[in-house]
Amino acid sequence: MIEPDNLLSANDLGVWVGPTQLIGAIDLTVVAGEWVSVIGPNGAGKTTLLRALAGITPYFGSVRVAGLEVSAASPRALAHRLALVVQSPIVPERITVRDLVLLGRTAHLGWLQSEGRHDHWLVDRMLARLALEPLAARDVATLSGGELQRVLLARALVQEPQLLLLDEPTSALDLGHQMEVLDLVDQLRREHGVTVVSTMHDLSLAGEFADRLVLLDRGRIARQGPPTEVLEADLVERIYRTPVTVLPPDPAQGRHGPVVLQRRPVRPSRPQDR
Amino acid sequence: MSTRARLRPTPVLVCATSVVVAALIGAALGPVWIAPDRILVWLVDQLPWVDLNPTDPLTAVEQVILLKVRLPRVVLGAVVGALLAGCGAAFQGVFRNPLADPYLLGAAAGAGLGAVTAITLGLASALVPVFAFVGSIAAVTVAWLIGSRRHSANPTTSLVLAGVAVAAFLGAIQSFLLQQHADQLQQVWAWMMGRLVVAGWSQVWTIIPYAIVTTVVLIGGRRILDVLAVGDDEARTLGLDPRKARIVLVLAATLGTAAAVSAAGLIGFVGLVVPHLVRLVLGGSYRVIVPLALLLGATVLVVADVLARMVMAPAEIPIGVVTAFLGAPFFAMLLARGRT
Repeated sequence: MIEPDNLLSANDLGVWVGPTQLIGAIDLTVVAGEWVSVIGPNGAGKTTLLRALAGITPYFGSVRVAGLEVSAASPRALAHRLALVVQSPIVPERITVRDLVLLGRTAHLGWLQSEGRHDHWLVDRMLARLALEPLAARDVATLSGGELQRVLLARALVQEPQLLLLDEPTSALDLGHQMEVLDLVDQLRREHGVTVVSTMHDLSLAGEFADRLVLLDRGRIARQGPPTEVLEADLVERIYRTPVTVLPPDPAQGRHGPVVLQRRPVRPSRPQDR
Repeated sequence: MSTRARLRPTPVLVCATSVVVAALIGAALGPVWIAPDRILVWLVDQLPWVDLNPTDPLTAVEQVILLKVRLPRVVLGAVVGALLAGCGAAFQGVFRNPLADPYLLGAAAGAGLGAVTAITLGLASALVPVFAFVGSIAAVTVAWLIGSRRHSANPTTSLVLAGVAVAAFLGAIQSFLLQQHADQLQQVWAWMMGRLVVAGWSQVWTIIPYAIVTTVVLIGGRRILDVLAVGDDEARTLGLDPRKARIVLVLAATLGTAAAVSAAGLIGFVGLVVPHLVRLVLGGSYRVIVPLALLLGATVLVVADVLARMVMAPAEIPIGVVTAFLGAPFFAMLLARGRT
């Protein structure tokens, strides 16, 4: 049997902060072109896992991206392979949208080198693709949450990575902008052949867009697989400690993944109701 | 607002012109007035293949005053000012801290202790700058060794705190030495409040190699300062090793600061205010801030030296007093207007 072309493989991955183990014994493979979404309740270790995969948080075990061991790689070599869009970015003061996107070319430039024609062409192309051209001269501080998310995506994509890591890409967005950003990521990964690993809170959106889900519980993988196998009511109820109803995918209604609805917990009747 | 932060010709030309004008004024003013236009014509006339045949050339005495006294002082002031402002901009960028100045990691305290040690030991005055230079480099090195940890959650804060601790410790030793050698207090104070006293060009030539190294590294690294502005984690995922970048930039800025301090004593506010002034007018990109801060710093210190010489002539005010007297209210005004 021929092994699939794994772009990312993590083996026995663990992250400790002092005596506390935040995640442990994670085995994860991501095939090139796939979209894998990491889900789980607060504190499950989603962001920690993503940061370990990006080489920001030190880890035990092994993480390889495009054949390169992440902990041993230089930031420059790693940035050629993966880009990370963080949940709460630091936005420098008085920087324009175009200049922030241009920072995505850092890994392609030497210390004393300035951006060349190709770098500017790439930035212009990405600004146009993400409908950011009218905002190019705007101060980033004046953007809405959805606009900022698009700018960060543009910055990540001009890095020309093979793997795009997205930490809660929709957390600060309203319903309309959530769908807009995720649709955009989906289109871009198809256009650019980029592999996506994201963390997401919204289970229905995760199931709608990802090829595979990885459900984390207290730092360990509770289950991974296609959305229909992971988003099972019993499992979700047990891990999130809340009753849910899971509706099956309904392509006729435009739903390709299961929909997870939270139910009101059944409480004992109050004495006066008896 | 333009889409790109680029170093445009107009601000460079304005700042470069301000340096030349300030230098001419600095060279013209003194007990003997030499008209700036005569200085300019004479200087241009000295260039190879230029023969202006001036109608009113400088006299031999004026040439001696210009070449041996005023020009070395003006050039030294310009270089020191440029270094302090450029290094201030670099420190503000590296530490993502608008209150950073070239003395953030203990350079001033180290230089102060070095100078006080040399003076209280009764060493030759020529050794004071050497001790100041060594003290400055040593203090920053110690602060770096204490505050720089590979996996610190907040490496810049650790470094700044280490700088505070080192400065406090060295300050205590300095105070003790001063208390034990109260008779040399005036000499020490004269050094600490900053002064541009030159004996020919020797001090200028001494500082020039450091100025060149610092300027080349800071100008070359100004794009890197923009990357560091997004924080260490994001900078790393963009492909920059923030720790290595900090080492190179802090090393260059420390060399420049130590050279400036050893040549002119402790001159405050130039390194803090000048980068803010550029930021206020031309935006937050270090591609613009660093080169223009270098130029504007030169202008500011040459003008401050003119004031130091002229306000109470024939007596001189320490130049550090002038920069603090003008810089502090200006900075307070920026803060009050919420523009920093």
